[in-house]
Amino acid sequence: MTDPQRIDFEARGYLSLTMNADILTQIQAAFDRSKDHLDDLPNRDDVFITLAEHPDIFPFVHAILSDDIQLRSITGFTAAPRSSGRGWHRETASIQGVNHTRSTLCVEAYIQLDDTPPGGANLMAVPTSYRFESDLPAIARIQDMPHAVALPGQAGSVALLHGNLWQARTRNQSHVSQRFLKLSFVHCWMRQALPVLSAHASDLIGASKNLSQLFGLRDVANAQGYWSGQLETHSSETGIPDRKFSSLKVVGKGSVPNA
Amino acid sequence: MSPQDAKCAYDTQGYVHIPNALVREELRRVQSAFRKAEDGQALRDLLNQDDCFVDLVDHPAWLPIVQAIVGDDVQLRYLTGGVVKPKSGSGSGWHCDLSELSCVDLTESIIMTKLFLYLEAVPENGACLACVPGSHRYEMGHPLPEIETHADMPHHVKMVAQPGDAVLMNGYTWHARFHNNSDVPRRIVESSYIHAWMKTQFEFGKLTPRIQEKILSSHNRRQLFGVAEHGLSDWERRLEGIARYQPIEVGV
Repeated sequence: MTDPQRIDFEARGYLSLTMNADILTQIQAAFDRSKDHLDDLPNRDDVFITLAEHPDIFPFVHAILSDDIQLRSITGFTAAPRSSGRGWHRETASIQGVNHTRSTLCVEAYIQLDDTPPGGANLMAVPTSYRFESDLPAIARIQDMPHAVALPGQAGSVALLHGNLWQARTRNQSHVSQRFLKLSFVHCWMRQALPVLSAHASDLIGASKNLSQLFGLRDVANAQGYWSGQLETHSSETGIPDRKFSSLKVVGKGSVPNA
Repeated sequence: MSPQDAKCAYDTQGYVHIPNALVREELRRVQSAFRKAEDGQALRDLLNQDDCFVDLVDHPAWLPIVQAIVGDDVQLRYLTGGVVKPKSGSGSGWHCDLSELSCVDLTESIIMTKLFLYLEAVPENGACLACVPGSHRYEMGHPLPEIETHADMPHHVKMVAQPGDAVLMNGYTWHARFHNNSDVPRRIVESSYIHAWMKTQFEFGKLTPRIQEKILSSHNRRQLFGVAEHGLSDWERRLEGIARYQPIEVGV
């Protein structure tokens, strides 16, 4: 992730990326083969497993969420012609215990598999809203949201959204279906919402240390392994916002028992 | 101590001391079960040793306080037993349990809180837990001071405890365990409370069928022990009596 991209994400709460054409073609084909099982993608095609660490997406999410990154879910959905959208919401609104405006618990990666047709469903966001303390305004229509922007809508567009960002998807008023993939990334100490993995999927994932962490196959029984993750072949990342305190340090134990 | 008073103390200091949380027969029962587990070298598997340890997880002396502090989505991370022998230099230095955590503003979030239940008295020269009051509010970046001994930490407070006392401590609070210079062991049950959207450090499936049954019969226990609720996201779990989470969505 470049410095301008980091600044973009911190300033707006989202980042726009593009997938290369080869992987996009593979995903489109796998999506169509799996269209009746869009909640079970890791068991339907290997591409939905390796996608979690794909270089067009993963390094950016890793930089945002740090070395303890983990996949929470990967699902697909289709915005059918003349179908309703999704109103303005914050994805992490139901999560208690965290000051979301100053923390990053979750990053969602929306991958568009089709060009957005005229009148089609658009992903929308309110820049910087992940830092808002205020409630969502009482508006009647999605397009009434002040300061909202439409995110890029070409096939292969990827929108990385901070989990606390105000986001919505407009109605698909066109005559064309639109396919989307949604990957949610969280931290390794958080629960996941993945389907039970098949033996084949488990074997594929288990052969890679990074995929094992991403798909939650590692042991969290000991405290040392609970709060932190460690990835291979990627440089270490501390996430956004910067963790400013010093690394773990213990002082004052002394060499002799205290009197 | 009311949950509100305890929460106020906790929010201010980063910990709260609850005197006499467990008393009389109930305390004796837990002490006895603990000794048995200790003899059987099963302190790390307390939940499978005796029903009384399951009952500790949602004990009325502290669950309302834990709920007020952690939230309605509270869950157990683990429950374990610990013994510090007399005259042992086995204290832990000053540290913060969550110092490795990334991306969470810990000064204004409560990710993890520990409960220490004392089964024996811990005198002033014993293996006291000590905290720096208010350190859970320090900006992330505030350095630990360069000190040699536990006692050198400025402004620290030692928890001198009686049998049955409990201490709840924020995982972001600076704390240490002093060396045990007394003639008595320190025996505690330590629990870690987190949120239902976090992973536990025990497997429900590894609890005995009887213990599982005991847990499954109660809404709160199913949540506290991390048993999935069909059709409900782990982000939306709430204790009994709390209204089901209603998603907020505007515009169509």
